[in-house]
Amino acid sequence: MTSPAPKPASNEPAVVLRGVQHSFRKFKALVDINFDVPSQSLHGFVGPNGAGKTTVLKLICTLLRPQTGTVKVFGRDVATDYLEVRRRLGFMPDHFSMYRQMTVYEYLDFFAAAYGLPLETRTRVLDDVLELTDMGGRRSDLINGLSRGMQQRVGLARVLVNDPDILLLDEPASGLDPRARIELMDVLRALRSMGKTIIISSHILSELAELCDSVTIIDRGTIRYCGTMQGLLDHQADYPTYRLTPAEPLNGLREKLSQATGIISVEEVEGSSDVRVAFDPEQLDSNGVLRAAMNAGITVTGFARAQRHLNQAFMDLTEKGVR
Amino acid sequence: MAARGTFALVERAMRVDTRLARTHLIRLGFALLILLFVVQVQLGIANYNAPGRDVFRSMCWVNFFLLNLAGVSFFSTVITEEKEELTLGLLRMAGISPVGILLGKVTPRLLGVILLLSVQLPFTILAITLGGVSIDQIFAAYVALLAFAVLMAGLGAFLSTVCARSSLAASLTTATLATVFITPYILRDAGREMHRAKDISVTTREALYEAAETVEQTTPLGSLDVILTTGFNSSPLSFQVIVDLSFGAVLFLLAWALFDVSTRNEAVSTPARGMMALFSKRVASQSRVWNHAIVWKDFNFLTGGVTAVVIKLLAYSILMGAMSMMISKRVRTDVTDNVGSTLMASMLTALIVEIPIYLSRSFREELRWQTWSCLTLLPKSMTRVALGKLAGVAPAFLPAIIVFTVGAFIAPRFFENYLFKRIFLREDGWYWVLQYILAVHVIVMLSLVVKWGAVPFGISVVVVPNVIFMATVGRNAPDAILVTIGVCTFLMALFLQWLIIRQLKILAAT
Repeated sequence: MTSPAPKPASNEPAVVLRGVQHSFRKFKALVDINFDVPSQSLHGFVGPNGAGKTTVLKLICTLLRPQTGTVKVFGRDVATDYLEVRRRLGFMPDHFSMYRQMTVYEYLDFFAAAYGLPLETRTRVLDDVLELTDMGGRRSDLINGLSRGMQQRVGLARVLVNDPDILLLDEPASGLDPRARIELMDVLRALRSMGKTIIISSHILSELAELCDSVTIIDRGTIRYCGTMQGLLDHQADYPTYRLTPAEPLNGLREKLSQATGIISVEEVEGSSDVRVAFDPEQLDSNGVLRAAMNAGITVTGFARAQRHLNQAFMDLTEKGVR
Repeated sequence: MAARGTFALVERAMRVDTRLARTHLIRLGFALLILLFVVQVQLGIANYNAPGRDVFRSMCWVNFFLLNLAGVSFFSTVITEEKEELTLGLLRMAGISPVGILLGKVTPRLLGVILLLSVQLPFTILAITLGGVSIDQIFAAYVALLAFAVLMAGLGAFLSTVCARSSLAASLTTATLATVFITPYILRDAGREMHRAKDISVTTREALYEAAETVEQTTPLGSLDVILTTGFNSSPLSFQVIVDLSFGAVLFLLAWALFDVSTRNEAVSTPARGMMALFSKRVASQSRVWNHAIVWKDFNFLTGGVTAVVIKLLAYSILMGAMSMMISKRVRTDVTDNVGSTLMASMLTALIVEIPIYLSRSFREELRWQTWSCLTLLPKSMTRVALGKLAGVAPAFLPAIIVFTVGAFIAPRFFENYLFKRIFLREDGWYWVLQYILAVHVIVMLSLVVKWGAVPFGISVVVVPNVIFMATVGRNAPDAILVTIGVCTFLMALFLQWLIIRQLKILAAT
């Protein structure tokens, strides 16, 4: 694809949600949603099944109208300025919403024409998106005959034909084999380097870990975390936690440490003799924890702030069960 | 195991049916309709010799009409819906045999129809009290209708087993029923005309008449007339009952025999490329999408594009040419008027049928293949998208319009006096135009909320009240009443338009 020069980063967030609530009859799908997505970033939107991810994406892409609160895309309200929002946005739903009786080229040409691109521009744009998604060799194939991964690429090519500033991808990697997933992620990286803002939803956090600059975690219609990936790893659910490496297995000493003043919990780290010690910051600081360990008779060979695994962070932030 | 599976299917269907408010509303609506017949007879009781029989006759014809509707929509999807949902394989894996699946699917629907007929029992007793009909006639009529229901169930089971899609099964059911109902008229007409032209002898003509009579007696269309004759004293096991039950059973057995062959390869159904398939994909890919992309898409993929228009124009021209030749042979005077009027009347009928079918498919197909949300995300208003879709199907009506125009040129007098003046310069002409517009809106609305049967249900929603209205006060109604109803109809059509746009928005986000 003839890569257009990346657009200069602006301070204006690409997407802003404020006080958004949405119900389907008596079911509250979203409860007071507030978050921003920085411009030209790759933003992950993660949550378990039924968390409200798709509802938020549908609100952003103007398929749903917010019942309460405001949703703005590049400063434009989706409720009142929806035509302009649609011009700057490309949405790829989680299902294969395709005219499968068309060829790849017909399908892309149809959407390019529907967005009002003149014929000569269409030819160039279609060549570009086909090259970017590596579908040039399959342009005359019927979409129906393509594999799931190929169809996903065509879907991605479709949202690119109008050169949108923001892409909303609802679980784009779902059902793809590992190779197709990796290739899709490569395409998304290429798009980010072109200055696109990309919001990608998934219920698998680790899938987005290497890809995203920032992440929003949603569960049961409420935002549980919104910030950088690193911030998520540092983020503590309730109490500060340190990882302590003893010289010898703790055995009975673990019980003794957990009874010390200000210590909340002492948990074994799976696959090692290390323990994770959580403490109340109002009663102790990290030095106090180390002192309490030594007082309990533990010979400490390592002591550092515990950085949680992404999946652990996700589990801490979300509740058990599905709704 | 198989029997248990069948019972589980029946039980599940009955439970779902019972929980749905729609089921009870339909039964209530049906009871109210019959009550309306009773009120109608009661209001003009002095004009009726046998009020009970007239009430019962109306009930029978409504039943017959509904059974045809059920055949087209309710029974013809009995297996195809499982095919389309890809759940047939799961039923087979659960150890349910083909006959178990067929019985499990057909029985609850047949029971549903029987329950609908049973709603009428109190009214049938009332009909006896009103006078003019005997218990034997009522019993025979219900046996005739039930036998026809069994035939519909058998036909539905067979066609939905051999067809891959509900739409095809419903179309074939409609075609079969239309053939059975029209055949007697064609045989009689052919016998009469060919004898008049001295092409056949009296014996052949009588044989054709007899064949027509036999075909007519295989459906309630013929048998109900006999049953409702004063002094009817025959067995309820009439020729029609035996034929319908036998054919129903044979069709069911055929469905059973062909079940494995027809359902072996369960594949994800895909939208058809239609007439575009006549061209190679590479050739098709060379042609570019028009600037009005939605118009291009619907014209090519929904109506079949230029190829379909040309083929349809040729078909209409050949058919109308043949009819014109027949007319010119039969008629000695005013040949051009007769030919022209036939062309116009035929094409008007074709248009009346084509318009709701294409319009309802226009949105239904988008919903079916889950493409509607992508279309609504285009930077266009919903109204513009909808208008684009309407413009896309409009060229499909060109062949009928062209042949109609030829007819108007051939017989301008007929066009002016019998069509233009009668339709557009008279209140009752406008009344029917508005009723048709309302019917089209109802059909389009229904196509957004029901999976199948939007066209027959939409037609019945508009036709049944009109038939009742015309049968009661309509014929002698003053123009003021017609104008008032016409205005109300127009307002209802506008309201439906608003509802359609609203529903389209809701469906886009679903």
